[in-house]
Amino acid sequence: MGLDYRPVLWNTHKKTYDKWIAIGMLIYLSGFVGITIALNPESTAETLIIRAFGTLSIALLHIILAIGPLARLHPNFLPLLYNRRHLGVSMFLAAFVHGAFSIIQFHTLGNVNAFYALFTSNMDYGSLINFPFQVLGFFALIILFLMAATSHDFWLKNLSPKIWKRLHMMVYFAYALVLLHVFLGALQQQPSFWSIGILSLGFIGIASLHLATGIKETKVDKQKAKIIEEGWEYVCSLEEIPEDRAKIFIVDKERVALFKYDGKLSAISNVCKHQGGPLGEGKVVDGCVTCPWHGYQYLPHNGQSPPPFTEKIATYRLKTIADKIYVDPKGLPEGTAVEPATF
Amino acid sequence: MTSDLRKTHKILWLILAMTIPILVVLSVLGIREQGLNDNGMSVKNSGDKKELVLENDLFTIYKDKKSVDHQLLVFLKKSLPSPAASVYAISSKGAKGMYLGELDKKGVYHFKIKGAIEGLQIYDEIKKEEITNVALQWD
Repeated sequence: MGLDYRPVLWNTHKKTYDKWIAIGMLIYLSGFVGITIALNPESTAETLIIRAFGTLSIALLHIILAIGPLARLHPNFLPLLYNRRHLGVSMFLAAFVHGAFSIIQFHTLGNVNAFYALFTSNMDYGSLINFPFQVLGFFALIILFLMAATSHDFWLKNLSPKIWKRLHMMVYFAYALVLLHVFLGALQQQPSFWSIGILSLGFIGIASLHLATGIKETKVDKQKAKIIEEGWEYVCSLEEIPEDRAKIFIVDKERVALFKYDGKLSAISNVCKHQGGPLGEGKVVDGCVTCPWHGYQYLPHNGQSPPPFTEKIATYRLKTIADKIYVDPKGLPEGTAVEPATF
Repeated sequence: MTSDLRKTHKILWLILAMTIPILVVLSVLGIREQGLNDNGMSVKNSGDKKELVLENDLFTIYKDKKSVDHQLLVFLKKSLPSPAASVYAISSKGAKGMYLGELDKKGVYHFKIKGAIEGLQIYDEIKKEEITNVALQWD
């Protein structure tokens, strides 16, 4: 969490994460260039750069797209989610190098503007096989640029979380454009069994992860309260909730997290105000519910972030009968204080 | 994530899972067919009507026997190192002669020539360097 907007709030985890991104990119680029030169010594520097950075950005995009569903399927992948935006920006930079060199190599040195040539050198928009694949790559790069440029929390707040999220979900459209850019471009000119196979497997893997996660989450969403007494829904018994942890349950299609801490019980919205992280999968640290994704915190009894922060989430009334816990499904306005149930 | 976002994600991925494989399969099928057909004439059956004057990794070149103005039918089998290249006839003295046309992507090209020529020079006008020379064999 940051009160003042700084470019990066560095900490040990972020430095380690970024170090591994840089190392990984260097290893990939060196390996790609080395292998290409060994197999094809006549390759020019421009071709090497275009291909190395193009394939690197596609590989990074696959990793980025896999992180979200993997983190939902197993908590061991949460550390990858923590600084995913740095991975996204790195991927954009690699894609930008690929795009810039491609435009220079293929569309400058002529007598028309390079961008004009990009859109007019091939006008076969009615054909699939001869489709101007460069245009597909160009628009994918524009989307990735907009995402990289707005990756900071400053934009999350000022664009509004809703608009910011819609913008960043365009990564899926960019992914489709990138796949078609390759299949209708490079693979048409130089078909390669391995390239087709790797890209196809990559798509199958990513799509399978997302769909499997979607099916898993849908099953959770379909759960309904089994016992309802006088408007109160039964959640669980006291023993089911570990200390300083939560039980997540569904109320009116949305998820609610019931935390047990210091002999008290409080129920809050499961959705973090920052980027929608699952608060119920976090824990209570220093009296605050802490989001497992990026560490945003909320006081459990009123759903408010501790001062000076201003985020607020909805709260819910609770009651206990013996060791059974019941929740009032009508959520209270964000930031409303609720006396915790005691046991 | 809220339930609406989860639903949106699911719908998006269902759409991608259905459309991308179709487009990919169509593009892969197109790889086999494109570039080596000219009005239904393939590299294999061109020999019935044309005289083969060159066959190598990069080109298959036929001369049209019957036309009054000689015509070369050039099958470019794979991309050249340059995005666009000029084609010149090589004269009997080995010098760069008449400009015939341009080659860019893999495909079929027709060039009109005047009489028999020694070969073709493929030239990169931007880098001002010769890409390759090919010698043609005439009967």
